Amino acid sequence: MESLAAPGVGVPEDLLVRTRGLTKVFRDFWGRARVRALDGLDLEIERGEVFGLLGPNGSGKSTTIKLLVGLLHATSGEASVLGAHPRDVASKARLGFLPEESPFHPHLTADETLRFHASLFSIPGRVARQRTDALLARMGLARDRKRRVGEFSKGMLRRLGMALALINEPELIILDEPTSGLDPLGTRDFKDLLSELRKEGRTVLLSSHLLGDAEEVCDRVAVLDRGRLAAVGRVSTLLEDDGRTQIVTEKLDPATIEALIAFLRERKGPGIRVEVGTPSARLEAFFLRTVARATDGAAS
Amino acid sequence: MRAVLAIAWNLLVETARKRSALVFILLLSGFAIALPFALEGEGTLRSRLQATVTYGAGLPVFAISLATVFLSSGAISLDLQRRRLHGIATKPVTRLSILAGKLLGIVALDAVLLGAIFAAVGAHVALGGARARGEGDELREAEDRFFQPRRAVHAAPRTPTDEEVRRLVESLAAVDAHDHRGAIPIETAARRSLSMHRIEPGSTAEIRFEGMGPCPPGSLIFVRYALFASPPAEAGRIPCEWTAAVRGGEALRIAPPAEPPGIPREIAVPAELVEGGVLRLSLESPARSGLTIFADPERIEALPVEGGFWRNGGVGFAAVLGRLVLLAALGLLAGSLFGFPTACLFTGFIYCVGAGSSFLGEVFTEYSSGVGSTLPDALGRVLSSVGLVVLDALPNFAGIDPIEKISDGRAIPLAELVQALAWTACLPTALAIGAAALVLGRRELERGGWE
Repeated sequence: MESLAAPGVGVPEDLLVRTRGLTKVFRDFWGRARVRALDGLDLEIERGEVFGLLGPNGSGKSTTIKLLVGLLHATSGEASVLGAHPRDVASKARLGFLPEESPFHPHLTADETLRFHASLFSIPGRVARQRTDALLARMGLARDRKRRVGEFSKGMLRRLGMALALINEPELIILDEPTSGLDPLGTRDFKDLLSELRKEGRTVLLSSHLLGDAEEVCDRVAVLDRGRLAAVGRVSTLLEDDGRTQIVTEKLDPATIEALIAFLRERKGPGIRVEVGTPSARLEAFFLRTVARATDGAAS
Repeated sequence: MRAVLAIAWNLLVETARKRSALVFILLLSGFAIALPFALEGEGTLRSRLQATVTYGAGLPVFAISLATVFLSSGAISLDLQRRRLHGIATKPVTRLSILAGKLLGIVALDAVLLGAIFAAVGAHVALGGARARGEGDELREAEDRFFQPRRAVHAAPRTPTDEEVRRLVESLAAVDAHDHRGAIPIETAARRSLSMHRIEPGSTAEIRFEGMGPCPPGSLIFVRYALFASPPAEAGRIPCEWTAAVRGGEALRIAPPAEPPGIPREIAVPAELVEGGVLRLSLESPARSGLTIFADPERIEALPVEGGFWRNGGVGFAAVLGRLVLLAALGLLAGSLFGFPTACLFTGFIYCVGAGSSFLGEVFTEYSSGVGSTLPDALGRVLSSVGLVVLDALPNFAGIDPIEKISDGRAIPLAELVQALAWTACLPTALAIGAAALVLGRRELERGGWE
């Protein structure tokens, strides 16, 4: 069974999240084990890092996050978040959370939603108003602040959810599939926001199945597969390929390429495998350039 | 506290902006404003006013109670189902604060709706009273029996001696040994019988009303009573005469028309007869010899004026609101335990049973004291006994019926209200909310699993 006895005791201050043998088994009505969603997860997230939780659908990413914010109860093992049990109420004042879905009260405006959540943190009214204004502007929702949330698009809801996760200026921000529903511009904004948060020294745990996003923003990642930890480490270390070397230069003519291949065969033997090609721009960069050009054209 | 208020305000705003809520409020307002115009009662001013209160307030209060069942049952269960509670539960807010906020929001909404209904009915009553000004007897009747709330004070029972009780028990046991059903012990039956005032022809009995309190000078005290006679077959119409000593004046004598046994009758006596909080009257039997009159203290009550109509309305408002608070707490508990449909059914069931508990209690008592020896009879007795236990365990929503009391011109004593609110609203509400907090604390909010 899950241990409720002060799991934060003995956890170093710089470890904002620590799990030991965290296991979650979902049971049916009769108590029979149906799915082992998480199986003995050991994880440590240090202060100030952006940590990515990666894995295919059903690998246990969301289950891990829900266990860490106290929405689910662990079957066994223990977890410590901000040095306290995940269900500790007081420590939630230092936590920001963006759930996978954004189920807000549809009849409240964006402004009211943010101020309602600020009240839950007992943030004084004047400070709440300042933060609300700043966050709505930062998320590009300033013009929609008086619109009811029920009229928002999915992307706008994600932006509002992100604003809510930051209303208390948290030490630890847990984001479940943060870029889901965002357009490429929104995704770019989100990545910029993460960079800012990193600079401010905040710790971020995010789950995603979009590997490109995680690669760009995360310091360290963990890969989950069927509830087990498959790999964990720094992104650069995990992606390093010891067996290959890549050389990138200006565009070369065919004769120079032939000469280079001949040189390599002479030095390393005729069996060496050489691939030559033209690197293509990433679709995201292409999209952003195209949209920027179109926007500039419209403006002029 | 800020979080509790925020959750309450959020619920209030969210509900008020729903189209369904708007339609409900419009229907309710239209009903409360229009219905009294269509009510005539028996044609007199008093009966028109009574009908205005009974239906103009009674039916909307029932509708608000049902709305409270839906709203409170869904406040937690629907937020869980739609995952809205996750956003609150992952903030530094205890489960108890969440529930307190929801309860406060629902009660605030109920108070606004109830206030509007009571105000609309009050306006109708005030206008109805004003329209009738100058209509003499009708207005006086309305003033005496509707606008002046009266408290009921039962006559003090006669205290039998132990010897009287012993003799009656012996005679009952000898005569009725084979026929006694055992529903009431013989001694209790004997004491109950001997507590009645027994008036032989030509004699009198003192009927005392204690705890009358201060009565406004110049006001009238109504005395309602019903008489019985022995032997019943020869009773016909029972004559009687009431007398009272008046300090420094001629004794008061009232000889109402004779009526058959058990028929309620009424006399009016001046409030000045009350001395030291006690009203003393004498009941004389002018009946022919051989007919004994019995006056059951439980069927004799004095009705002194207590408070005013509007104060009574205010106390009634508090009594109804207290009932709605408990209903909302039960809905929140049900919503913490079950999904929305089950929670609605659960809370609705408790409300229906609680509202009909007086009637159900009588039915169960009658069945549980049956004498049949067949299997269905035995089964009926067992089920009735279980029913009585369930009724005792569930809140009694019919304990104080404020609308009926206001309509009947009966005062709702503040002490009675406070006692009723403490035991039948505050305590069960606290227990229900505490239990709901415990449930929500142990329950997984994401998938409804349990620790």
